[in-house]
Amino acid sequence: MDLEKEFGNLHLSGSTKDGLIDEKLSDLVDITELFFDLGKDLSPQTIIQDPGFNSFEGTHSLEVNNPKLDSSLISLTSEEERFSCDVACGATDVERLMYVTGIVDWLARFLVCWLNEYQTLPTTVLSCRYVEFLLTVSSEREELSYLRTGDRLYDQVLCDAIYGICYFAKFVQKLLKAGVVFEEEDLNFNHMGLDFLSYVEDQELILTRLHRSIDYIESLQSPETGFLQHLLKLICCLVSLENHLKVYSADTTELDNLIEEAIYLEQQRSSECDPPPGCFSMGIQKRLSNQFPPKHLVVPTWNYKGFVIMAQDIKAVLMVDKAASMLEAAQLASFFNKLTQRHVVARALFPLFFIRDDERVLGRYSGFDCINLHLTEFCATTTASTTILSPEMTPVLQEAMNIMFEWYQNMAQNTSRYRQGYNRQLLLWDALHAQMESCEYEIASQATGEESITKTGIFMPCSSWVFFMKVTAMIEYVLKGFDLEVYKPFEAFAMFWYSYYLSYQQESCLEKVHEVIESKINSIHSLGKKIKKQKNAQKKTELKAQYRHLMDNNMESLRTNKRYLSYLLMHGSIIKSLSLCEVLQFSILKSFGVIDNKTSASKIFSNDRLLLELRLKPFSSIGVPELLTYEAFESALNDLLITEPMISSKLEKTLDRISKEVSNALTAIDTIKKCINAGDNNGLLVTGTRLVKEQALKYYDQLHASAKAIELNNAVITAKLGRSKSSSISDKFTVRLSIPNDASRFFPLLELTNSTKNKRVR
Amino acid sequence: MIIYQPLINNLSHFQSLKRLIDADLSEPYSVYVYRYFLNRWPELTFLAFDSESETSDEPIGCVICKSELHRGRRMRGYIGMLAVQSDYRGRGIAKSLVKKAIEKMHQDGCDEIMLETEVENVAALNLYENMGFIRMKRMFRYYLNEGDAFKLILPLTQRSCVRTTFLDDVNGIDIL
Ligand SMILES: CC(C)(COP(=O)(O)OP(=O)(O)OC[C@H]1O[C@@H](n2cnc3c(N)ncnc32)[C@H](O)[C@@H]1OP(=O)(O)O)[C@@H](O)C(=O)NCCC(=O)NCCS
Repeated sequence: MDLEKEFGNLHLSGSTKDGLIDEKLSDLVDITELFFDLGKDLSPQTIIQDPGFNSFEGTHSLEVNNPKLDSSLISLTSEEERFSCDVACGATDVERLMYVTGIVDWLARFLVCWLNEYQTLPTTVLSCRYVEFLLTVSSEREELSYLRTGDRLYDQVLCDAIYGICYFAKFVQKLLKAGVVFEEEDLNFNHMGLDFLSYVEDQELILTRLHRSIDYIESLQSPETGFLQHLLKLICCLVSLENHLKVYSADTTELDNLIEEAIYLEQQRSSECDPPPGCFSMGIQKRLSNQFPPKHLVVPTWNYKGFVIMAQDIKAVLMVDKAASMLEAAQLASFFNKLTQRHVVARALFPLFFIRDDERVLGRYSGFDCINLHLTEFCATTTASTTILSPEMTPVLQEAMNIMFEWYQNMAQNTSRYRQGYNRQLLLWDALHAQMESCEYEIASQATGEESITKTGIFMPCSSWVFFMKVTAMIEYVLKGFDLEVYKPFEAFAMFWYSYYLSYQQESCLEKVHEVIESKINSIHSLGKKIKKQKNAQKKTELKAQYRHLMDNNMESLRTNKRYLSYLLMHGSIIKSLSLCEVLQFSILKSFGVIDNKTSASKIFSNDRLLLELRLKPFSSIGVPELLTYEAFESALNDLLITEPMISSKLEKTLDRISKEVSNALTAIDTIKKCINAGDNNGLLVTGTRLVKEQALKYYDQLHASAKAIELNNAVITAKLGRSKSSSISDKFTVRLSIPNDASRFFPLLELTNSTKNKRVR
Repeated sequence: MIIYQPLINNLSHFQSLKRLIDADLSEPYSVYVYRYFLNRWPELTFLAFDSESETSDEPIGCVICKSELHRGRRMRGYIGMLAVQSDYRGRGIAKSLVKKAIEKMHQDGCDEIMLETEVENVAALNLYENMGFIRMKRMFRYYLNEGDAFKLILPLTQRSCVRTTFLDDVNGIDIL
């Protein structure tokens, strides 16, 4: 307490923020001695006891006088020390042009380092003295300020370029603040306390000034200005990008221009000019508020194609505006970021463009419309319209909508977060499933019509959809673990067996829905037959009217439902078959003793049961589908093992089974690919992939390659292991998970490799 | 001979510990990180000494841990840092250090042991995975030097295998 009082006494009266700078040194109080005096009473053991100081704080804390952690100790070259923004560098007109071109070129390429290569702002764009200077003076005056060197290239062109770049950075900052992507992990926006043009609302102002600079350098009529002109045009495109968020523009003109400019600049390597010495420096880390350890400047490579990647990825996002159905939107979301992680700006933009500020989806649908469409396009046509409209259903649908929004948002996450997102979602889907079932059951049992009664009892379309979404999330979570290399080979059996089990559950659900839809279709057809048989003219007219109504209003969507469900079933069958193939290959390898589903690790602290249960922790609370027990996994594997007698023929049988599953998968893949190519109006299936055709085809191509690789692996395994067991085999081989070229990362191969005595890789 | 000792109430090795660990870190830790671990959980830091070396009182390896109630529900041990001086590597020293630390945390009632390590750190991954740790998740660009990391967990009790939301509160334990 005394300490606080003493600190209180140290307050300098009358020293305002600005006043302090003007204070004469003699007016300041030297507190060094007092500080150390007071510090004497503190023992190191007690310093870090604040509950708020956790290991996160710890690892992010800085340390005075530690050169690795104290940015005030950064040493600058004399050129950096002497650098002044008040004079135009360069002795001649040409030299000044080269310098300004060099600065703007570096800044543009630094943008790519920052956004495409995950570098920090202070080691890229903010390392430019002019950027620091202009942002500082402008924010003091809350208006754009300009250099005063007397040279128009500096005082106007360079400033306009810098404000364009900062305006774009401001847009990126806005994306980051929306909270979709993660600071540090996806994007660094360490602004060093500088205000990124918060006082400039007007994009037009920035653009007009850039255009006046383009006009000016054009008027110089010098061939050396070409490169700079194109740089400025590129910056104009960047400034316009905010329109995709500000007014939700889906117009791609500026993105196409950006691509064109970037391709042009990429080819102009010979025009590279150096910026003036000292202009880019670590100095800002020393001068301004910095909460990070000192970091060396990035050396930008010739990276203009980075802008092409950004623009193309944003275009992929904007395609969602063309979605003709919720299914197309959902398929775009599923595929656009699935195989390769998209540019951070595109990923951040996606959910914001999709779910607008007013919570309307694509500006067209309310949340309720959105969930309604999802349900309708899945199975709910005519079956559940009454259910959906029941007032009891409103809160449940509201919750469904929230989860669906989360689902959309998760699709744009970086590859690791994506899996974690599902981990969270599992709980939400599971809770929703229970809620939906009880609500839907209640409504259905009150209904009088035979509408929802099937052979197997009450059919609940909405709950079926939730169940389908939940199981899909579970499968995705499990298989994504292979992509992220989270599993060791010994775990492959459990994970593939589980995904097989889940696909089986999913298939049963889809088949039921398919059956209901089919019977709806059939009942309309049979109404047609009834009409023919009907003798009573009035009844005949009534039936005809009813038939017409059903044909006009329901038939088309029922047929679409049916074709979409066929797609889902076919897709699921691929996952199921490939999972089973992996399981069977594992069982062969285990039968020969080259792999085990038990860890080879020391068991002094843990055991196999705990390891499996920990692995399945995300599912531990899920009611349906029921979690498989340790014993269930064990007995499943035991049943598949190839044991004496007649090993050779049993092996043959297992290999045949694998080949059969591979061929099932290949047929399904081919059918799906044909239907993707043919479009939803022309094929057996509705896939909803019109807007992401290329990515969807690539995804199925990869599954195709995996299926082929698994088939080939059959031959490799038998060639290496022979067809009868021998005790020496287990010492000769080990199994690793490998991804063959162009194959799916969700189905790595159980690859037999020669075991090496020397395991150390240094 | 290699001798293993807990740190308890002996902060005299502070500087040498820091040196040992800093040598292998691409991004440095501040003194506060060390203080945070060593002051609060000195019993969970173990040091290795070479009794035959000329500098036998200088540690040649160390493991630094903590244990805390995770989300109020589960006792979680955490391995914060581990290093063995390069000329002593490959002799099982890290393995012994980690074993001692886990034994202690186990005795103290931890339900699980957790740590993060870089995806590229094959030595550390082998070491921990051979002790039964499994990779729970991958973290994108977890380290300041831009590498991905894995979060590893070693389950010691059944409580490690249940989501915290579904665990009972641990009453009466207040370790903070
Ligand atoms: C990781 C480190 C602590 C290992 O120390 P060590 O004393 O050499 O390790 P050990 O001799 O106890 O080896 C134990 C196991 O680790 C694994 N391992 C150790 N070094 C390895 C290497 N270079 N390559 C592959 N595996 C290795 C092996 O599985 C080994 O068991 P084995 O000998 O039965 O095969 C040491 O390399 C180090 O200090 N590295 C730098 C700091 C670091 O990476 N710390 C871990 C951060 S979490």
